[in-house]
Amino acid sequence: MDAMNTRSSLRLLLALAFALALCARPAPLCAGEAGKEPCAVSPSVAGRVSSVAPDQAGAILARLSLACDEGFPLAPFEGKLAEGLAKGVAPAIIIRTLDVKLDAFRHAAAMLRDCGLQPAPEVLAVLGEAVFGGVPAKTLHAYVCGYAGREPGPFLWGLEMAVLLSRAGFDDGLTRQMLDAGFATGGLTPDWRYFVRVVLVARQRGLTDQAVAEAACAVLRGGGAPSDVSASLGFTDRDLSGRELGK
Amino acid sequence: MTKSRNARQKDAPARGPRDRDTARLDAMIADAVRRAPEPSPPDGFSARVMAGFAPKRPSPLTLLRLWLTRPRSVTFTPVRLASAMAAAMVLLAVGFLALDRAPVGGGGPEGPTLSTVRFVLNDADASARAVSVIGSFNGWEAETSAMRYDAGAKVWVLEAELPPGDHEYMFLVDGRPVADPRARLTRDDGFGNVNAILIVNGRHEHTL
Repeated sequence: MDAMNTRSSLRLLLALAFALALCARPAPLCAGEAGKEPCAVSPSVAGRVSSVAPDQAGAILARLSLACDEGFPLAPFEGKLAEGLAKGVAPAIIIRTLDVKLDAFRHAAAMLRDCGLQPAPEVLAVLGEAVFGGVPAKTLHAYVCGYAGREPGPFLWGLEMAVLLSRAGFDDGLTRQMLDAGFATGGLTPDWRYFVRVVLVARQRGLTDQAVAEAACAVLRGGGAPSDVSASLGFTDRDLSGRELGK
Repeated sequence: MTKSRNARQKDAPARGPRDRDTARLDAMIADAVRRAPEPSPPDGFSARVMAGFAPKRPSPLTLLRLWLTRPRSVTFTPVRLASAMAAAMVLLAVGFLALDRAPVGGGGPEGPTLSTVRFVLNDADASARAVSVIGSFNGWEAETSAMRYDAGAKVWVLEAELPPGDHEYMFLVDGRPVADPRARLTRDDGFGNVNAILIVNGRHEHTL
């Protein structure tokens, strides 16, 4: 009888543990707006912060809390924190970088509002990272205000495409020609986000950005894909793949 | 029945000769019935009768209701409680890990298509002791992406399965971040280093 009771008690405790495990979620960092999911620091990040001195850990968490309060997606800030800790960056520099990143996201949110858009998390993440990464505000503002009325999907894909092209030093005017062609025909699909790959391979082969843009516009007007651009320029998808990284 | 009849005969008042004859006849019939041979029941009769009395098995719902409503006592000792709590903590930890794992290496049937990316870092004089790839795709955790040294080719190598997207990465050589010298697309990391940008589009056209 005792043994049976003991087994019952163990089963009861295990059931409670399962229930707790199912209910377990990262602890809310702060309350979100009504109807929104509350922000929360992931357990892995919380564990990493615990390796920092308490006062600096408090300052780091305060930045994350601020990002949450201002309605910014938390993942870019958590990622930057994890990156800094992994690279052995001094906590004071991590804190300063998080401040710079907060400013970048504030700037991005203001830019979206200036152009009559609500700062949706996906767009804000791309735009905030672009501002933080040094993409010129003029380039970003021209895109956001120029294509503000477009469908959310193509608007986001076009933004990612423009940001990567800008990082590669592609001319803004040529980018705008391609985007105009894509939005006009509805041919801007998710594949076009990484069109910069075609540009970089084309440059290696001695082709000009102008030639690439012209080929891309023609393909976009016909509803084609980036692979059609590379084919029209004389190379295939195979040329875009298989390179070993590093060395 | 015989007993009640006898009782009635005993209690009945004295009657005439005709009544006495009737009573005697009744007694004779009763005696003949008592002495008559008793016929045996047909084969299987008893089993069939008993089968009708077999207890019915309660439905699972009834069993569950009985189990839930039956009072029971719970006893434990501190030692057993401690072991149960330890088991509970292990389960919680497993739950957290399962919830927290990013789908970098896996991806279910509905998950994104993963592409194999081969990272290579030259080390001709084998000067490095440990090299990892840290990046946005592995949460910047060196432990999950340690490279192996290929003594023949004199390079550090790692093959990783990555989801579509643009990923940033650096090499971590003996704990020191090192930029990929061959990266075609880079980005300032805000800490004074340069991250390489790797683009994976999910159709095995994976590198830049």
